[in-house]
Amino acid sequence: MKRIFVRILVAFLLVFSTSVNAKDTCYPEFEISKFTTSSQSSEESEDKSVFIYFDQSLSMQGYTKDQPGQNNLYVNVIDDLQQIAENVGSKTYYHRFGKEIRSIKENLISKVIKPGFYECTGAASECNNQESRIHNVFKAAKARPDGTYIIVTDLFLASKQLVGGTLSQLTKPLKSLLKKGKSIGIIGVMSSFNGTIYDIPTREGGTVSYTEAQKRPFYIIIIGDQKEINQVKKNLEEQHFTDPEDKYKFSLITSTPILQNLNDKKLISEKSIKNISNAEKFKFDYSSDNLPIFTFNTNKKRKLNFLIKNSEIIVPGSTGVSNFKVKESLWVSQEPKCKDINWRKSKFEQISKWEQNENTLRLQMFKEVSLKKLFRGMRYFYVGEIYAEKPGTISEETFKEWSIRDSDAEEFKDGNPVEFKTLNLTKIIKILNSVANDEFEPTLIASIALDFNLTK
Amino acid sequence: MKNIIQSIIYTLAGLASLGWISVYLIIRSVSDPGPDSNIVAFFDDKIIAAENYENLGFESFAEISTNFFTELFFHMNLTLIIFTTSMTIAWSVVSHYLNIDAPGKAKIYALHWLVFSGIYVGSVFGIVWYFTGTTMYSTADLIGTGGHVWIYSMSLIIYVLPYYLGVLLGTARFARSSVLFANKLPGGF
Repeated sequence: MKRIFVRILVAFLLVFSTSVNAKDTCYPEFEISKFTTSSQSSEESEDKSVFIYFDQSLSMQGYTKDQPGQNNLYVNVIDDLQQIAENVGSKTYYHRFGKEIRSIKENLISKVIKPGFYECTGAASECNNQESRIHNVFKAAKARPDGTYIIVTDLFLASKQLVGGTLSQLTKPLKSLLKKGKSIGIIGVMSSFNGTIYDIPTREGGTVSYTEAQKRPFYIIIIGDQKEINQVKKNLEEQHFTDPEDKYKFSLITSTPILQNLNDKKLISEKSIKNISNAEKFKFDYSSDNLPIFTFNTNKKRKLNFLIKNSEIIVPGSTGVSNFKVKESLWVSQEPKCKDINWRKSKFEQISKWEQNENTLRLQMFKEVSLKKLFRGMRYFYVGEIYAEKPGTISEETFKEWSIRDSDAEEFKDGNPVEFKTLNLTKIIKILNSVANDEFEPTLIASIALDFNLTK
Repeated sequence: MKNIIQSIIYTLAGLASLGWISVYLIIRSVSDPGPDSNIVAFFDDKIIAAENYENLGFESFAEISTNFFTELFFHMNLTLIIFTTSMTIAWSVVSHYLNIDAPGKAKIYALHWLVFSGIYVGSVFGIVWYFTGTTMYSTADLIGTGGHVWIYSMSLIIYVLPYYLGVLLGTARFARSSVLFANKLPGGF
């Protein structure tokens, strides 16, 4: 009796294991690319140092003096920056920069929000407030990339600082940082201003000053991991930007604007393809390597639209993605039944078409090669891998309204504006984006498979 | 009755003159002509859209020709031969009851024949379209645009011509109207 039972058990296991193999061999042989995570540091914030740099140039002085009827966010934000920095790292170091970088003793930090901090009583050649060499700060960040850097500046850079050797002094350290997986967060805050804006370029080639501005944006540039940048932004939002009238903008410059791979966390569901669950013999399953497989029967009229929410793949505030690439393969078997399957790989290279709007990325599968071009009565196996191929330019658009070009600066000043703009801001963002784009590598967002019989 | 049977025999003889091609095609297709046969090569060359199957990874039509011949082509030819034979015999029988004895008898007789033949030819087109142009047979997808023209032309030659010969030979010989009309038709039987 026992022997019979063992035989039955063995026979059952044999049949069971065969069916599993048969199921596996029913798909064509293919390889799915793996998602490569960004090289972001996973170091805990407790061990991190935070370096805060204050722009000491004379143009910054106007932020510290109250302007009647205007909200002075500069003083409020700088006041809290020490506490925000402590949330991010264990030790905070303070510096000021102008012509050169100098450290600030902790007991003197409170002076940053006083006009006196930006004044120089000595000879002009010895003063630190005549220019702001922000590239020196970037260079310092490059030398110690494990830290988090917070730079407070008016980001008022003349065109001559954004060309040739000076530009390369700016971009080289940033490139190195982005390569190491670091990101650059830019928070622009519109604050009251009561002072002089220097070095406004004229058409003749000289510079002029302007004293009538009542509001002007200042910038907090954060260099570090995306997590820390978001933490600083969140703290500022919660503590300071609560009034709907407070104007602030945020942009994240990163070589890794992709949030995640949808397959890794199995975020693709049967609802990802619109109305597919209505198809005949529909089945949805994940393979052992996290590949979602949609199995169904369809006629040639079906529209296969695979939808991805932008919020699921794009890092908030980042440049986004301007171009996607879909790597596709299609196999066909004349015999649909598993036991007779004989897959042939088709020659089609571009089968689908993607389009993106504000909220979603839509992959119109079988748009380039229509289902109408396929033969009925056959079984098809489609594998599509969606890659982010080129970063977008969302951040440039974000800051556009606060930017003024060199050539328009004088005319703008002559219009006696109350709210003054930042010189070459779009250009600066563009440069930062292009540095990030250089380090960007195509990233796999999602992989998907369709196993379908084409019927009448 | 004797005349009718005689007409049917003549009709079948007329049909057989070219109808054997259809029988040959039916026998070849039901038994699957095989990848190396001339008929597969001919279809690959003239009727099938090579681009479609090549893009899908098939090297030649021969790899996927079995279902095309054993189902679509076999069913279509079988339907056409049965329909053609039935229509031809039907005319031959009916023509015996069309002995019109009135002024313009040949014209009236011709009118009947033209309407009948028109229905027949239209039906042949309809049958070919049903098999090759609708979704009834999945292998119809293999046929290219030029291939459809070839299939319609071949069907006309293989079926309409035997029909013509069949009705010409099998039509009621004793009816004066029929004779008058037959004298005017090409062939001069």
